[in-house]
Amino acid sequence: MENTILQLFPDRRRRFWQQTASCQGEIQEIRLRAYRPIVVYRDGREWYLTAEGAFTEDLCQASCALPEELEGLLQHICRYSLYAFEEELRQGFVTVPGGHRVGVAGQAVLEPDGRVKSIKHISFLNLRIAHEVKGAADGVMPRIYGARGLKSALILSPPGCGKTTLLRDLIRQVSDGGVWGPGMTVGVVDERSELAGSFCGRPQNDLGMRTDVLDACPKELGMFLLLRAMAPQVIAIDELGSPGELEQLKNAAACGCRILATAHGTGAVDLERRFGMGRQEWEKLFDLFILLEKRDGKCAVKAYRDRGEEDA
Amino acid sequence: MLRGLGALLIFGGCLGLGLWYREQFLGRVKALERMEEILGLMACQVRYHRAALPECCRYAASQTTGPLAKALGDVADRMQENGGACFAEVFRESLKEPFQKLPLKPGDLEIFWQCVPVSGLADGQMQLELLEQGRQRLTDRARRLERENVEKCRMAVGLGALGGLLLLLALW
Repeated sequence: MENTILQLFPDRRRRFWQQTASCQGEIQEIRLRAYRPIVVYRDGREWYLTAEGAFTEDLCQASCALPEELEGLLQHICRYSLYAFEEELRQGFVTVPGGHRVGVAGQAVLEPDGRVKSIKHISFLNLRIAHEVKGAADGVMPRIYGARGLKSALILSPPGCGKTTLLRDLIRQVSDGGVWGPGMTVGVVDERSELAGSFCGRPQNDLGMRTDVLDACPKELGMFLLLRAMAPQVIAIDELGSPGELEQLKNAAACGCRILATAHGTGAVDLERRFGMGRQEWEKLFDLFILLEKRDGKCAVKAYRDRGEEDA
Repeated sequence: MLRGLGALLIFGGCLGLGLWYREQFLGRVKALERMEEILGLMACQVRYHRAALPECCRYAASQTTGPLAKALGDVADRMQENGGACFAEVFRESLKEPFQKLPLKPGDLEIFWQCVPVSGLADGQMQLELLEQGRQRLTDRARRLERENVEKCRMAVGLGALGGLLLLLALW
């Protein structure tokens, strides 16, 4: 994982990015906008880069990104084969080695039916640096394993509270096994490449030794494929979003799979409102509900609720 | 005796020269067919897997043999190492040497290089067409040369042999 930022850049720009790459652990985002100063978010603070690539807070010394640089960077990230990343670009981001994600924005080209066909004149890039938090699920493990083994769990929280990070580490620990239980075969449908951070089909994040990842596949279809082909003991998906996905989850649960999933929301009410499914229905699918929140700027578990338990 | 041996050597040398030219003509067609094959393998990876160009090279390397296969493997390895170099540069650099050893003309190589532009194309269909067009142009060229080669090869060997005889008559 070390210095994987530097590999994002073509060789002619590596000297400039050397200093930034040396602080990879502290960097959250690098934002490049055509003819605008390069902004680096480091330890929660905004920094600019001088012409030599050194950090500065002085806007006057800030170096700007040129359109050619953005073009070169995108070409390099896409291995000089933009067509191979057509679908990712259409969705607005590309996952790169190291699990980092490069968001793109420019001018959208639309299909006659209004769908985005591609993005042209890409003038904005957002390099989101991945920080895998191994051990993020340590506190959850005692609760997620019960007398009958692993419980199916739904992680709920508003955006930015660490759902995906928690789920990623849960998958890893469940897959590898440990003091809480033996390792289990986990099937992950990673529609947005956020969990595994796959690049060319290979997970860049550690999801455990017994995990099979179906990358960039719609969740509904992916769950069906995994169930049929890989016989997973556990199915994991991030950001449960549509009734179709819920139906497929029910199908997986009926096949005896444990389910690990996340959804946006602050509690049962949000879920009911969003999916139009009552509490009893949810409890048929999940044994445990984990509510997350942000406390003093840090992600933390707000509450656990087991099946049949009343809301706190 | 010595005179006879000298005459044989001269005739053999001239005939050999004619045969060498013949091999050059035939070798060029074979080399064009190898290039066609490489582009075909790459196109197949783009068509079915939407594979990036370095992966196409890896596949083509695995399906072919000889110095060209090794060079294609090197391209894939170098891109995998991610030293930051541009694909088109690495591709040209690695394949230049094995191509130099083949009896190809600059025009043949130009067609091949055009299939890998410096900036990758955003549209998979266009990339595929580029590879297919290059392949088609190489095929056309190879077929044309094949037709011409029947006469050329006969002429090269004939001229070599006749040249040798002429030299012998002149020197006898």
